[in-house]
Amino acid sequence: MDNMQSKHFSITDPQGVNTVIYQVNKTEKEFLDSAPKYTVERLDHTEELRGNLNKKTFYVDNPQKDGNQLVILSFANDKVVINSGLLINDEVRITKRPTPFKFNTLYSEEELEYKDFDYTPNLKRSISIIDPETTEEVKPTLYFDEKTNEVKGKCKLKPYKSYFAFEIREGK
Amino acid sequence: MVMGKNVKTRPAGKNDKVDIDVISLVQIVEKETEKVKSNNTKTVVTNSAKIQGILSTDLDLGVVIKAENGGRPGQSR
Repeated sequence: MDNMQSKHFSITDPQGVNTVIYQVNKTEKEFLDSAPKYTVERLDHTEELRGNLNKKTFYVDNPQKDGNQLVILSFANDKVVINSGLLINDEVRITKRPTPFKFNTLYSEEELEYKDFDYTPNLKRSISIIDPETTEEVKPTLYFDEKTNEVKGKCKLKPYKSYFAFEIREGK
Repeated sequence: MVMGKNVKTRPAGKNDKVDIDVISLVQIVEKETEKVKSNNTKTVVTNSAKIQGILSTDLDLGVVIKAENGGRPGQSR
C-alpha cells in the first residue's frame, strides 16, 4: 500500500443543504468469506460558517496512488443528491452525473415513537442507513438469536418517517 | 456497517468498479392491537426511489475540486 500524506478538500453547502462524504473501502481477499467486498467509512470534516453558506473541509487520512473513491451525499428537505468522486493526486474529480432522489413515506402522522426492526440478517451486505434530517447514521446493535443460532443486527427507527439507505456493490 | 474488528480493508481506487445502490426504506405501520403491540411495525426494503429535479449544490458533472496536503488541524500528518 502506498502511504501518502493526508489530504483535505473543501465544498460549500448552500443554506438548507447538508453534505456528508464517505470513502469506499475494499476488503482484503483473505476476509471476503466473512465480510462484504466493499464498505464505506465516513470522512471527518470541519465546518466554517460564511453567511448563509457552510464551508466544509473533509479529511482523507490515507490517500492512495490509484485514488480514493468517494460517495458524496447532499441532503436537503426531502431530497438527497448522490455524487461519486475520486480523490487522486491533488484533486477530487466528480465522476458521475448527480442523481437526486426523493424520499418515500407511506404514512405521515405526528406520532414519534421508536420501534425496533431486524437488520442485516446477512452481514455480507453493507447497508448504511442515514437519518436525512440530522445526516447521522443509524447504527445497528448486534445480538445473538438463540432460535436461529445467528448473529443479527437490530436498528431503532422512528415510524412514519423516511430514511435514506444505500450500499456499495461491485460494478458491472 | 458492522464488521469484525480484524477485517482488513484498503481504500478502493480508480480501477475498482463500484455501484451505489439506493435502498428505499418504507416503514409500514400496521394498526396496533393489544395482541401484536410489540411487533406492529414492518420495514420493507425495496430498491426503488423517485428521481427528482436537480438540487443546487456546487457539485456537478466533471467538476474538479482542489485537494491540498495536510490532515485535521492539530494532526501531525
